[in-house]
Order: sequence, then C-alpha cells, then structure tokens
Amino acid sequence: MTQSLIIAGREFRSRLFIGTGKFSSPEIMRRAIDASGTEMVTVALRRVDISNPQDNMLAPIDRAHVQLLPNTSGARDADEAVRVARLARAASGVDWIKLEVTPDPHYLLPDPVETLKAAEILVKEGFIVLPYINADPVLAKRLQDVGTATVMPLGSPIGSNQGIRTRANLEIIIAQATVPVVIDAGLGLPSHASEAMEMGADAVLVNTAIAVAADPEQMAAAFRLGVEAGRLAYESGPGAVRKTAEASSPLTGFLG
Amino acid sequence: MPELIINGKTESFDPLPESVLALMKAIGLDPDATLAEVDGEIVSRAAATMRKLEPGNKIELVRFVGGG
Repeated sequence: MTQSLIIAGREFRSRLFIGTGKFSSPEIMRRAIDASGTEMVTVALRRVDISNPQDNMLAPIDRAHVQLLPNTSGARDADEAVRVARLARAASGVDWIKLEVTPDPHYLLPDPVETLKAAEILVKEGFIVLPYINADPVLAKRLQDVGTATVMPLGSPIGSNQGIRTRANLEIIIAQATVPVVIDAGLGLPSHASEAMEMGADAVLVNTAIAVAADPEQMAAAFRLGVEAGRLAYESGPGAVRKTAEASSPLTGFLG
Repeated sequence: MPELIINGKTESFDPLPESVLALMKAIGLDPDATLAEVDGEIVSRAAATMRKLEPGNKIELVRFVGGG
C-alpha cells in the first residue's frame, strides 16, 4: 500500500487524475473513470449551444468520491482565466481550479506570466489553485510561493502522447517542490505515467491517452496499474544506476 | 419583440422570460447544469429565480463539458 497524497487537506488514495474530454460517450467516460480508480477529474466550462441543449455531463460522475476540478481551458490571458474560474466556482460549488492559460493554439503551451498573475488573484480569492505550467523550475517555485496547492508541469505538449520530454527540468521541480507535483499533459502510455511516478512525481493527469484508446476502460485500468507500479517503486527506493556491471550472483565459491 | 443577447447572438422572445430561471426553462436547459452571467455579473443558482431580465440584457449561459 502506497502513501496517500494530500492536496489542500484532501486525501487521495489514487495518484491518477483523469481528464473528461474526448470520450465518445458519457457512459464510456463513466466506465473509464471507474476503471482508473481516480478520485479527481477535470472538466471544462463552455457556452451552452441553445439550439442543441445537452444532458448534464456531471451526472455520471460520483461526486461523493471524485473531486471535481474545473479548468480554465480556453483562457488566453489572466483576466479570462479569472473570469472562467469564478464562473466555474459558481457553477460547480467547488473552490478547486485547474489554472491553464494557453494563448498559442498550435502547441497549447501555457503562458507563464499570465498564469502567475492569475494564480495570485485566485489564491487571494480563496481558490485551491492547481496551475498547468511548462516544466520551468523557477516558475514552479514562484507559484508555490504565492500559495498554489500544487504545480502541474507538462511532460510534453497536451494530447501529443509523446511522454516525458522534459525530464531534466521535472527532476529539478520535484527536488525543489514544497507542494505536490502533478505531471500533466503528454503522457501517452502507462509506462510514461510509471516513469513520472518513479521520478518522484506525486501524481499524474491523463486524458487523451485514455479517451482516444480503442478501449478507454481497459486503458484506464492500465494507467491505474502503471501509476501504482511507479509509485510503489519510488517508495521502495530504487537502486543506483551504474556505468559498469555488478554481478547479481556471488563471485566466490564457483566450481574449482 | 423584446430581445436578449445570449452568448453573443440576438434572440427574440415574446413575452420576455421574467427571470434567469424562466429563460433557462424557455430554452429547454437544465437549470441544475447551467450557469448564467447577466451583464457581466454571475447569477448564482439560488438567485436565478430572483434575477429579473430586461430587454437588451447581455447573457452568457455556460455549462460543464468534458475537458482535460
């Protein structure tokens, strides 16, 4: 049994957070959430299409066991992010917010200046802020200093399934962090999630890799195992990496 | 005919819905899943019955969707 993760006083047994985008149906989303064992899911806020009202997407989510984490996706600057966060709080009744400010639609890389600015405002307004950031150790430190509940650096661009391409900087972020570090974005396979956990990340956030899999429910189960394996390994204290061989079998007492 | 600007589009109503809640029902939205902003001001669920509408109000109607 691995250690629990605590974010803003809430205990999480699962270190796998799930995004709810891109699922082909609410039922498939619900089954993937169940199979993943997650206790935190992200959602986005959008305008209603009044010519085509749709069902309440929150209905399949068991909010007694799963923390809702609305995001500010679509925001291009701090003002828009703060506005979306306030609307999301009023709509959901929760103070948790995944802060993301992504002015560039091609790579969807987060704007560090606007993210920090919005984080300061939202923390003062009592939000529990989980900011999505590039793997920038200086920014991560600035954000934890202004009171964010976590930092969520990317492994690679959102939805790219490239895995961890920012390892050196993630290692610095993890070493310096006084708040939980959640690797968010770009994790395409359970092995990527495992790698993040083995490095000492506190959790991972996965959406596309599960939602677009041919069998999202089974892929969610696979990510659950990957995250658990990686965390177990981290807590077990991995052996050192060596440049030369070290025999596993005794070097003495061989047949004369 | 009285008009409201909803999510950036001008919509005509006859009669004008009395409140934010009445507007949601008139459009066929689930009030439990929808949040309104009227002229830049968030209208909480609890206040949706009380918040009266006037012609020309700029209204944003939002809801949660899947997202990462």
